[in-house]
Amino acid sequence: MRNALPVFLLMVVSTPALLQAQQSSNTEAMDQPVLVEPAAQVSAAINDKDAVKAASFYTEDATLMPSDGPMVHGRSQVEAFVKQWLDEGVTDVVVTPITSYKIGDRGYEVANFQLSAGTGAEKSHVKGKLITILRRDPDRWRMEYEIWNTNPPAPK
Amino acid sequence: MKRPSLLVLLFAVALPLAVSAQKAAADKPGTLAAADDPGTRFAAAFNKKDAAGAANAYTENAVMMPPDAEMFSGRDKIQAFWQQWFNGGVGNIVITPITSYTQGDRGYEAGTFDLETGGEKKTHVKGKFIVIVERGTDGLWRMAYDIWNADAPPPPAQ
Repeated sequence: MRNALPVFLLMVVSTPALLQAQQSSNTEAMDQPVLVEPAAQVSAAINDKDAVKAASFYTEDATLMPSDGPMVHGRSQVEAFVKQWLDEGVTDVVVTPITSYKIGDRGYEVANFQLSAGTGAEKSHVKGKLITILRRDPDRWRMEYEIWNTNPPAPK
Repeated sequence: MKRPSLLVLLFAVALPLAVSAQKAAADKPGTLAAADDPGTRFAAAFNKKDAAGAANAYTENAVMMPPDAEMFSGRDKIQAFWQQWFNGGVGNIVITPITSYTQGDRGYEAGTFDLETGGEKKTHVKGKFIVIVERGTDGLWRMAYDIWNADAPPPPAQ
């Protein structure tokens, strides 16, 4: 019984510290697939003209911050926004990651993007850059905030 | 040979763990207080048309992602960028954070802004932004990435 006392004391001292130390390892610099997958999956869904699937990669309370437009709140509004994009002929979306970083249960991705919009003679190609803030939901990482803007049009 | 005392044993185990726990405590999730927010320092410098002060709210190799322009990096170029804005008469910015998150020495903030454009007829431009922030060795939080856009397209030129 006497011999158990040091072990018990060690456990009392070390367990909380070990748990905290484990938590600190959640802040890591890394380009993780989990952080760049959602934007790539949204691009694929848009290119498949599937607004419901595209919206599923955003959190339920996601906020879109579109260029030259008001903010869009909530997954159903994100879906409606994507649907409008599809109606306007947005396609060929390609997102090229620049960097990503995990901050505990959050993270971010910085990326370039390009897409085509319109049809026929009205068809245009747009390039720009974006930042997405990601949150770890119970089942997967999703985009919680997304903002983008465009680069100057290419000289003709 | 004499066995180490229980106190020495506990100390030997607990000290490294305590140091680790102290680091972990500093890594707990938090938000940017207004006093720590680089946006607060940026806005104060912006409204004095102090390009060097505004640039000092960014990390040395920060990346700027302005609308209708290519992205670029570096504090010197950022200072020149804001100086150009000030020369054009832009001022009176109000930054309103929506949310922020920090853990360890990194985090982000999303928010809205309202600023006054230059020219004879002053107009207000409203928009939103996201900045990625980093805490330097001097303890100051600075912007490492900055992207923003307007809430509406610019009015057609007359």
